[in-house]
Amino acid sequence: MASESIQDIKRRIRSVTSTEHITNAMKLVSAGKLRKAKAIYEKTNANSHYLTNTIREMFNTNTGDIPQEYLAGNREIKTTCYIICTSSRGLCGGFNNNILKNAQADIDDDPEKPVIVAIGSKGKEYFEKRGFEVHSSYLSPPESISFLESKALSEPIIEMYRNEEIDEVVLIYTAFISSMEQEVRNVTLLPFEIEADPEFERSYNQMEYEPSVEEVFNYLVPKYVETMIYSAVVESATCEHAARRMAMENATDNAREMLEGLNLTYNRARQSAITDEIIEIVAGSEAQN
Amino acid sequence: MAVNSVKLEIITPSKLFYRGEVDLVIVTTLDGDEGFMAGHCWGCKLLDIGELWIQEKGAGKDDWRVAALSGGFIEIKDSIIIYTDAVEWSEDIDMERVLSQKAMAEDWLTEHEETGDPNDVMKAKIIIAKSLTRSNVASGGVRHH
Repeated sequence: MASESIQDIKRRIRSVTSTEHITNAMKLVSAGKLRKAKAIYEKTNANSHYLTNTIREMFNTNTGDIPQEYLAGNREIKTTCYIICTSSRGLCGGFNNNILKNAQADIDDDPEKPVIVAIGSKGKEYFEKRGFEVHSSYLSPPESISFLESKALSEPIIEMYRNEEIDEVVLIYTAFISSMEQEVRNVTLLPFEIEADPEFERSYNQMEYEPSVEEVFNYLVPKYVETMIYSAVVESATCEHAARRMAMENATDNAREMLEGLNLTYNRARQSAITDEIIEIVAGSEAQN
Repeated sequence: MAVNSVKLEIITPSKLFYRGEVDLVIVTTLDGDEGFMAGHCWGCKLLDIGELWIQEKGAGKDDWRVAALSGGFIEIKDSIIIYTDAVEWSEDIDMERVLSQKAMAEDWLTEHEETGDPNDVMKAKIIIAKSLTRSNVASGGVRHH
């Protein structure tokens, strides 16, 4: 019995060791990718803030001339388009689950049939399995998305909004707070919710808009949607790497803990096998005397 | 040469393309070419596909940096910010790629101009316009003597 269980324990030790190697390697890879993704994220983040500020300023100084099409309250909200940023790869802990749970809750609350745009194959698979129609999707790993690709994704959405096929665009993604902490966020992109801010500092310098306030605004809002989608994809990719790094770190720690326990049992089993043998030899020699 | 210089930032969705003090910026707005210097009246203007010319602070009268700009908008305040989808310095333009792209779009257009989806026809025309700007910029731009 003893020798068989020693064999078993040895086999388990070997398998856990190789798992530990893999998770440890993946942890290091994710840490490297996280650093890279974070650098891009920080730049795009500054950009979208800047665009939002420009729009806000325009709104506050030219309230009368702003076209109503993109603003909240201009029409009843019936069909909602959900843009859901997940990952295309697994092994990243609860990352996809958190997003999908949040999205599902939102969609369940919505009495109308939703239009779903999935970024990342995990989200697409999830909603297709549950019988939802996925309107469009982007399936390559999100960290390598280019602005042109994200533009190709967002243009039809803006077009649909203009044609009143959809009345609201909601973006669901994971926001990056720190490498340790991420948070699922729902952002309504369209209609654009903005209110005149009475405390807004009016500059004495009158802005000159060319060709006209209306046209500049009509250009800026779709641009804002495009930029927001792009930066959400980049941000969610950053979170994916952070989540994966955490998950892999935990897995490595667990594997090491298991190995410690297994080594202990292995040594104990080996020692008891030796003790058994000694007892047998002693008993044999005593019987001879 | 201008007395005052103005801070210019050129931003694309994925990076800060340029930041520096300049004497003069010339861009193509929807109404035509316009130049901006320090102390310009504040404004926000949409840009067409076109050339971007900047004269850096302290540069000589004929010392220009040229880039191809694919539309966007310019905001003029105490500093100038250009926001665009894509921008390339003249020296970074890959002429071979530009020409092959242009040829492809032109071939497509000669066959489909009447029959194609108006959206696609428009896209092809935009590609040609962008390639033209790029090849102009690569060879020194319209203001090249």
